[in-house]
Amino acid sequence: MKQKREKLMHALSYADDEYITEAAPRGKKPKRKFVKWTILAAALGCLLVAFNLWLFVPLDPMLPDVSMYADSPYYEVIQKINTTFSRGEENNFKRYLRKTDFFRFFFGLFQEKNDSESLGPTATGQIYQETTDNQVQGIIEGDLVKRSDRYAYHLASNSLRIYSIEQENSALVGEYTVVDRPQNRRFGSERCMYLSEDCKTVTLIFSDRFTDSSENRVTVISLDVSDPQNIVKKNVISVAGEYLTSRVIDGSLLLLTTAFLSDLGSSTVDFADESTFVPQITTKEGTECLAPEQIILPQTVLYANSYVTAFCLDEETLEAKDAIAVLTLVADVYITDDCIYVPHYFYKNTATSDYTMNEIIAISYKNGFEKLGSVCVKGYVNNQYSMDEYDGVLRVVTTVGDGTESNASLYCIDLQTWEIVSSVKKFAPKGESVRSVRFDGDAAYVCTAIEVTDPVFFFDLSDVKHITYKKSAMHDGFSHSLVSFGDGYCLGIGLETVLKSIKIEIYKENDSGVESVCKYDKDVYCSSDYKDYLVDREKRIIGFSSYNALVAPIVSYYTLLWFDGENLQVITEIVNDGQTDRAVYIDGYLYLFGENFFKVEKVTIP
Amino acid sequence: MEDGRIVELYWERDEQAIAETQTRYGMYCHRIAYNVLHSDEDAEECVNDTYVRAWNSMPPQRPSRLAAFLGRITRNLALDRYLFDRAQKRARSTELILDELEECIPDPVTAPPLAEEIALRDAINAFLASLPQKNRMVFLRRYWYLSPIKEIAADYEITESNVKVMLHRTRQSFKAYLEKEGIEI
Repeated sequence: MKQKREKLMHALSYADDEYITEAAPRGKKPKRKFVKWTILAAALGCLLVAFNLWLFVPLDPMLPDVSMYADSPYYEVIQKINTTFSRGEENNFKRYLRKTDFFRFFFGLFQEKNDSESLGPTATGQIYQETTDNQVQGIIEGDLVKRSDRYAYHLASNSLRIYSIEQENSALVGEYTVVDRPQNRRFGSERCMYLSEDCKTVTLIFSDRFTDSSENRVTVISLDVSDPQNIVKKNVISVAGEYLTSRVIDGSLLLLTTAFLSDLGSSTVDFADESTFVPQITTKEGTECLAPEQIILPQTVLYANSYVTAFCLDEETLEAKDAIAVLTLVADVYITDDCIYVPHYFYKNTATSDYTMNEIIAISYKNGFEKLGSVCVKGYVNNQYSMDEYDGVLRVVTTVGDGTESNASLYCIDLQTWEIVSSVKKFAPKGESVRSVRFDGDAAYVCTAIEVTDPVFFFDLSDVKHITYKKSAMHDGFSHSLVSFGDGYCLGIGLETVLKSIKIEIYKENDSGVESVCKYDKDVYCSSDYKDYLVDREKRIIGFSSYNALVAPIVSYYTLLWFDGENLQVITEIVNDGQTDRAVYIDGYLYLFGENFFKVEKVTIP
Repeated sequence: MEDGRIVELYWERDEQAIAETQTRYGMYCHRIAYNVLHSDEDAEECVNDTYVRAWNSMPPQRPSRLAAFLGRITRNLALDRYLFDRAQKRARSTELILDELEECIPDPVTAPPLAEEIALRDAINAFLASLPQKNRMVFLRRYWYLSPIKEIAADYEITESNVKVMLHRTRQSFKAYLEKEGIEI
């Protein structure tokens, strides 16, 4: 009964916005005896309103005139940026603020050569082994652990640790502490690493924010790890902006950053000086602004003063080979073996409705950056897994609408013509939004949810002009990650009920719909980042780190599950001194990497 | 600053959005969280989490009613926290409100076996639409905002007994409505 009343309490969250706003507490009505004070307060209020009007009423609601820059090669960029300034509403308050602040702009990419002598590459004799479950095969994504056949490389919060892979005899063989990051960085930085195919170079990426400003900076460090006991720094670069994502493809590091222009106003950007509004790149020849043709402007409305910049760097030297920028704001991009898909959000107002739209911009990167085309679809994508290129068709799943009116749609776009060839619109129950998507060849699994109860959809995309789909029954909990698990199974990792406990569920498509084969759940806190989970399709194992906050001191576990074809069995549950960053299963042993520990456990899979 | 402009600031990734949200809706969110958690410290943490959740949600979301959007996030965060911590500490008044809601749970014998969240949501909104405005506001003040009876009575200028009677009748109607619609909790 207790669970039911709690569920009902949560269900009341679905009350329409209109009713919630209507019933919002507004404070008590003033009583008569306070009339005098009310009059006085009203007079003071009027004065305050007048002062605020003077401060905040826009001085000139018209767009600033930029026609004098018509001869500039960046005129199109200027015009686009100028459209967002009008929404900045120049007023006396901003003018005052500007006098007390100084203009900061942050697109400098500078390279710093290491003073120490590099030992030079030596033959390591190691064989690279992939540990990351990359979205696209061969397109390597950054992670916290990478490995060769002999060593495991773990990126802790501020150091690289190298361990030998020798079962019970495994040990720390080398460590490198990073000193190149800004000292005044805030807590909560992002980090990831790569190991080169020849196992000689490790590339570390840190995304930091400074404590004394809102500026963001991405630091990339390449290390020579040919000799694990003598790790040598090779190169460091620092890129202004926030880390978006990265990939390693054929010895090149594709680094994507976002940089916001939120502090810019019409008087602070000098359109006569492109270095104040155009990203810069540093190459052997020096630092220069990106050329106008290296800046992609969305065809649709620009809603944010921000650039997404893609740098193509040499994995070893970190030398910038090329760069391109898109004037947009994005949260995630999808990268295939030859193309970057950038979803540019914008908001569309019509007479009957308002909704978020997505202009998906495709940029090829194999032979230099070049825009291939773009297409507009309704809604917004959840993350990189919501987009997939297959057989000349881009498939996209979006959440359309907002709040209680939201729903989910699937679009198929012909990459030759950039036209939508087919779509399934609003296939979910009203009010649901997309929580996770996984494409697997001709099939796609989509999980939508309102709060915690949700269906899983299976799409048959073998004929894009005649898409069919099936739906599961409503299940408790939703999956924030869906993963194809081999043999037609789909693995869902997510949250169970309102208690935010872990739920791992195996689905299979059958004639009648999508069936839940088995489920494991437990009242513990877990990560919602897919990369934090160990998923081994061959061994059919799933590993995850968790902690139970209900007991003191907090206990951390690492749990390994095995799918036997019918059930999920707990193979082992290891108690640790803290959260496990990553775990890798190698030849009957589970290697656990934490900030304060490294552990190897013999684990037998039936 | 108007809601629309605050949403614009979120879309522009301007941290001023958080400051403006705090100014305009800080107390509102705090009140919702406090009504559930009955601890200033916990409520403050919950409100801070609300700002983070709002920052991560916009874009791509673009709420048309910012107050309801933020209120819903705060309420859910506070309830989650309350339920998760219940083994250690339970706020008596929140327990009381949950006990009251128990009256609304339809009889499982008469309800059909299959219940879907979506149907429940539609039923809730249809039920709310059917209520007179004052009853609806009082019902939501108690069970959405988790406000104390005394505060509701003062805000709507009615006696506490009136509020209790009104809530009792609305709960009975709600239960009857859910049963009629075949909703099982």
